[in-house]
Amino acid sequence: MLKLKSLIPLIALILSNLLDESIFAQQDLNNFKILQSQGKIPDDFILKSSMKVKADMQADRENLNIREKKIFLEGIHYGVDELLQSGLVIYGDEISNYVNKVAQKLLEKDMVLFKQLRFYTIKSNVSNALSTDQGIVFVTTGLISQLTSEAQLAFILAHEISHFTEKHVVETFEYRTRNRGIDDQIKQLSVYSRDKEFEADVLGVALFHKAGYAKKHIMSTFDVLMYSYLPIDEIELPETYFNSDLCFIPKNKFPDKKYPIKAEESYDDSRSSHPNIQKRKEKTLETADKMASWGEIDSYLGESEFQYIRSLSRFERLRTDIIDNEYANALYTIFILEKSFPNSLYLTRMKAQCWLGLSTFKIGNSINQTLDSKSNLEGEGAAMHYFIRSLDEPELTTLSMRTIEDCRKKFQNDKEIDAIWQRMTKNLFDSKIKLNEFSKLTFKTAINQLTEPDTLVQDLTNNVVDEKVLTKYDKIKQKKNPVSENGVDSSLYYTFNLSDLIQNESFINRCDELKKIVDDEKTDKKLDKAEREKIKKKENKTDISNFILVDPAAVSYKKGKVDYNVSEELTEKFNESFKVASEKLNLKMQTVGKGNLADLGTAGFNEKSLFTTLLIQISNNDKLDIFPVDYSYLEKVTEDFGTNKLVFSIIEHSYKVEFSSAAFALIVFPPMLLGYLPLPFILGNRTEINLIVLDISNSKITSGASYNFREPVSKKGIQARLYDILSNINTKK
Amino acid sequence: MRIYIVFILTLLSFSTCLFAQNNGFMGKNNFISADIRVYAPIIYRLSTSDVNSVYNKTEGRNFTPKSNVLDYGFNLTIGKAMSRNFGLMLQISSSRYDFAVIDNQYSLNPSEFYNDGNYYQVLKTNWLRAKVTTIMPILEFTGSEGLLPLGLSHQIGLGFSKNKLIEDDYNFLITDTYSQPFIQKENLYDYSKNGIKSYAIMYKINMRIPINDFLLFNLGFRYNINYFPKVYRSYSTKNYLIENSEIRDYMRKKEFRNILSLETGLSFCF
Repeated sequence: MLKLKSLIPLIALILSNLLDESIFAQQDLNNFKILQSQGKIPDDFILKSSMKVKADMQADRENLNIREKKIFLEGIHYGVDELLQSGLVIYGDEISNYVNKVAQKLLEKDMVLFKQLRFYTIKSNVSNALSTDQGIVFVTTGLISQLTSEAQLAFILAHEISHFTEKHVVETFEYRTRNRGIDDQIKQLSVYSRDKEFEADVLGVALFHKAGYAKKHIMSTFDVLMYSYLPIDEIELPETYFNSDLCFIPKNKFPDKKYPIKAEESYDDSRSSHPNIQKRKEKTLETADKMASWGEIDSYLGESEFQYIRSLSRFERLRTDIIDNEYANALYTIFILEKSFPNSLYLTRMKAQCWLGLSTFKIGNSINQTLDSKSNLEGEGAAMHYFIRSLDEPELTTLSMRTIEDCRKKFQNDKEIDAIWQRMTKNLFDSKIKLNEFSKLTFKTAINQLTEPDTLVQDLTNNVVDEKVLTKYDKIKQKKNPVSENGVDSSLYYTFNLSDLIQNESFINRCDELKKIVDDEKTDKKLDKAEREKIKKKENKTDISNFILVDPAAVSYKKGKVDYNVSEELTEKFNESFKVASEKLNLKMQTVGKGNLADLGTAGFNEKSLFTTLLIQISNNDKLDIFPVDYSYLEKVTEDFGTNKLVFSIIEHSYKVEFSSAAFALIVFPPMLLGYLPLPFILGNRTEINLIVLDISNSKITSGASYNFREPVSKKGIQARLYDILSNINTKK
Repeated sequence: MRIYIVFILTLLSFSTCLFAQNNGFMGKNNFISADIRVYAPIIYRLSTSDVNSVYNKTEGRNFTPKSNVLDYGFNLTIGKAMSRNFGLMLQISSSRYDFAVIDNQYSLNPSEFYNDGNYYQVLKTNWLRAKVTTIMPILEFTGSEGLLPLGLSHQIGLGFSKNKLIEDDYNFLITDTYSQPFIQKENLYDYSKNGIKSYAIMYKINMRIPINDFLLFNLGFRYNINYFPKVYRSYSTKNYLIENSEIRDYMRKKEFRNILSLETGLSFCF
């Protein structure tokens, strides 16, 4: 017995070490894994919004009457719960834990307050932090990615915590409620809101000071907020960045000037919720100067931990840019991160995804959606936008194929990069490129084989031929005929960039395969209209014998506004109806949604986030084929669930009795009016079910249904509709 | 609203809903419905001038007052959803209603029956009761997103009806210029010739709401018009107080004013 007792501390030590290893160990950023929620799922994510409202109704809100209290609580709880379930919020991850630790340091002398707060991360590139009335503090990955010190984060948290302690959310609600209908309400509300921001800044400075952080970090925090719309760093993009032994890009594709940064600190804030940065700086500095004995602390948790957390957020920033089709921004971030992580698999995958995305958008004539307009170009990152914009379709497609091939060579056995490569070859095939015009020589080799290589190389690569040397007539000739006297057409430089690929056996085989697909499609086009219609109908079908239902949602409207309570009840009915309908049709359905998160736990929450992100990514451009940013993660989840079919669905219901104005003409003949009167009541119900089936394997929406009905909404009615939709969509009977 | 609600709606802008197959209600396309039909003869009451002279029971000469508040009927329908938006039904219905034969607009003239040179007038009567049996094929259709037999639908029917005066011990309180009012019970109507044909045309807006996997609750408003062909009227001496042609007129009047009825019942799907 004694022996066992003496062993307990040892066992505890070993266990705690193991626990530290498994939970708190830093990941290797060369093998970055996307941030996912960890640990026990917090109540914030699983409790029903109505329960939260009910619980908070008991609390005293002295300035609000019961009706106002209900409106306020419904607003904050349903609103914040939507954000929590959006797929963008994570908990228990490394960033959230870091933020939590910084907050703990900040509130070391007020642990009662600290225990009232929860800290979660939002995956968004908007630099922001916000606190809610219920004590949740959100920080975005975009904000963390822009910081330069832990102290800056501490100041931002101090500001947000002050909003919470001063109950600014409820006060703003109260102000808005009491001042409804006043002249220029937005302006007045803006003034009120700015006052609250000043107050949070002042109190934040006090909290920051109390924690012992150095004063110098306050002003630099405002710089972060000011310039956070720019990339994570300002590093010049070299004109030779894309050049390699196999790839050549002429320098004239890059801008010949720098783009100035336009942001001003004293912008007009008269209709803004926050004061401009200049005013905030002045006010905060004034407050800080009044305080004596400032601390010297830059970081409590250590610089290396801060750097690590910031790197994580930068990797996440890259991912978010790709989700939003901001490929030029993503490539610039990769260019910066590659300097620190040259062998990162994740960066290579994302680079391949960016180029695939760019070529897809270019071929689909939508490239402008991914680039900043010329008037918005600012800073060093503008060079990437300028460069991509300067490429025409053959140039961009070739460079995309070149880069993806290089990525494939770098990580030869990576399934994700291989899948990107397969898609890229399809893009190449769909583009205007004629591969038979491509050279088997690299650009350098071709130049070296020419009679006067030096001049030409200089001409093409540097584009630095002194214009003064050329006569007017030389220039005209050059413009009219880009083919040099030596036989190399400088405008066709890209045709030398796939020299290895066009001799590569797997590439040739893939081209043959694609040619066959195109030929088959041509045969399909010969079908008559009836046959095509038949195929179209068939195309709306998918094998959903096993599918994942992702967070079915319901919205019920009353008098034009969302009725949150009824919506929540309708969500449960909808969920249950899916279960019954799929059981009757012998379809295997696995649900991942808010309704069963308590059972699924964090793993389910992460899966839901992955699925929702895929939907977000596809919906960001619904016309083009998108490659899922979380391809490898989705592959794994697909394996676990045994299916790659996701079903997203929403039901909306409203009841509104509408009398046709024309019907009042019937008043001249009352019996007819009597006959008309029941109709608006019977037709007042409007219910719509929307459903889509998303196939993860090709990230395409394979089936969809939009379905209206007018009878009162009932569980059995929904079941019957779902039975019909699922039965019609499913190919396997 | 939830962020992805917007996404789904966006995505659906290019997705299609091309369902060829009709799954009916949980895979069932056939149904039998039983409905009751209720009329509130408001228009009839408002438009019939002497309706307050019509009573229910008679004890001696005392007629018990009774208003004609509701008429009712019963429908039995068998139907099949031929497609998602189109169905066929066959309906047999029977309805009963009270009607009055005191109305200046119509021509019940007791003097023709008594034919003794005096002028007779009907003072009070019982409500006469009619039974209408209709057989009617019905076309049912919905908007583009229907799912028959479920939900909101429109029905149009054209049928054949037989209208009968229900045999009963009706009392008519009649007076002439000279004598005291008396009750006439005999020879009111020739029941052997009972049965007036008419054609019914019907439009109904109907809602079927599911109760369980087999039963649907029906609720609908029916607009029904009966067309009564002319009935030959004999101008010889009346053998009965009420002639067929007169009954036709009174029935027609009642039915025309009972255009709107509420129908409710159950459908069994199979």
